[in-house]
Amino acid sequence: MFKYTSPYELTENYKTALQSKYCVLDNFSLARFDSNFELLEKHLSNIVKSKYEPCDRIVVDHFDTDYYLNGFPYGLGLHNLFTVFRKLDIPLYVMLLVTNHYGIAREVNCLAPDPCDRPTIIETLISNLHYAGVYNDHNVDADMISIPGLCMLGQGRVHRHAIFRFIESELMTHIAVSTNPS
Amino acid sequence: MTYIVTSPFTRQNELWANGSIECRPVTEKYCHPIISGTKGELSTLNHADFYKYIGLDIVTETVYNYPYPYISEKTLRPIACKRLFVVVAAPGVLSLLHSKGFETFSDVLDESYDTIQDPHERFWQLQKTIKEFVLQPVETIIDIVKLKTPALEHNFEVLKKLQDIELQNLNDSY
Repeated sequence: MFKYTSPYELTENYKTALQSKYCVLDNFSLARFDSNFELLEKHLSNIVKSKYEPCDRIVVDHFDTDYYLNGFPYGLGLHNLFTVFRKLDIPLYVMLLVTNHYGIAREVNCLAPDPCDRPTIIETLISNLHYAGVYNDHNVDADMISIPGLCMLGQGRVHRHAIFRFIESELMTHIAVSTNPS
Repeated sequence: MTYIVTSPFTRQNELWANGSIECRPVTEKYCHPIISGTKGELSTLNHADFYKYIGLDIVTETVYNYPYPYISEKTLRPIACKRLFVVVAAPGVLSLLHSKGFETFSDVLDESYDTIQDPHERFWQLQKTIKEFVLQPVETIIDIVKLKTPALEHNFEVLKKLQDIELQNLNDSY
């Protein structure tokens, strides 16, 4: 049977390793809910307990980017995530935030000021997005080089527009470029 | 307790460019003839064959003006394809890669951009770094890539073992 794996989820090996260390009540990708936190609230309401064990954890895979307002001390997605836990009266220590946002403790500490009730944070690059598992090995083949640079621009964002305009104005014959304006 | 609605308008951090940087939206679809393949072939999983024709990958990460050194599969792609790279991203990305065991190329590329917090200053430095590299004769770039081949091979090996390394860290630290 086909099993969908989100790029923003931990690899199966990493999930298994976490399950050997904690009693994992649930594991979800925050990216699934980042535009609908009512849906996350509904999802987690199915696993709410009256009492939690010290090893209980709800694993949150946090590998997509967050939304930031100027002057706001934390990402809006993270704020909403904590709001769900509070609404459902789930202690914050039950949250295990696995993230590629190295240094996110400063946001978490703002959202969870009580040091006795804070999520565990694990910083890692091992999601399906980052880690392919199998890599095709090829020679470096330096003698094949014929173009100095390559720049493949994905979804339109300010820094990509700026890089394209820079290349367009000065370096189009030195860099192979692709754009994706959709 | 209410949720804050998120939308592209709440990505204020991405509205960093001022009038001194030309960032008119790119509306035209363009693809250099050497670039081919499906999206899956361009992932870290599959080596994109056309990488052998280029010396330097200018990676534009998912985010640029961001509070963390955010690394996605885009930064790992040139590592999988054994090529030098510059990362147009938040500061600290190269430093984070070093902490994971990867080598970068400060002896042949000016990588000072990685430590510059100001997004405009960082962008100017990135332009300078890119320009200096790609304006060299192709023969020189070939020599540089040959010189850095041990580092490129090393990085590929680190990438292959990355999950094992991270799982070991998990067992040691938590």
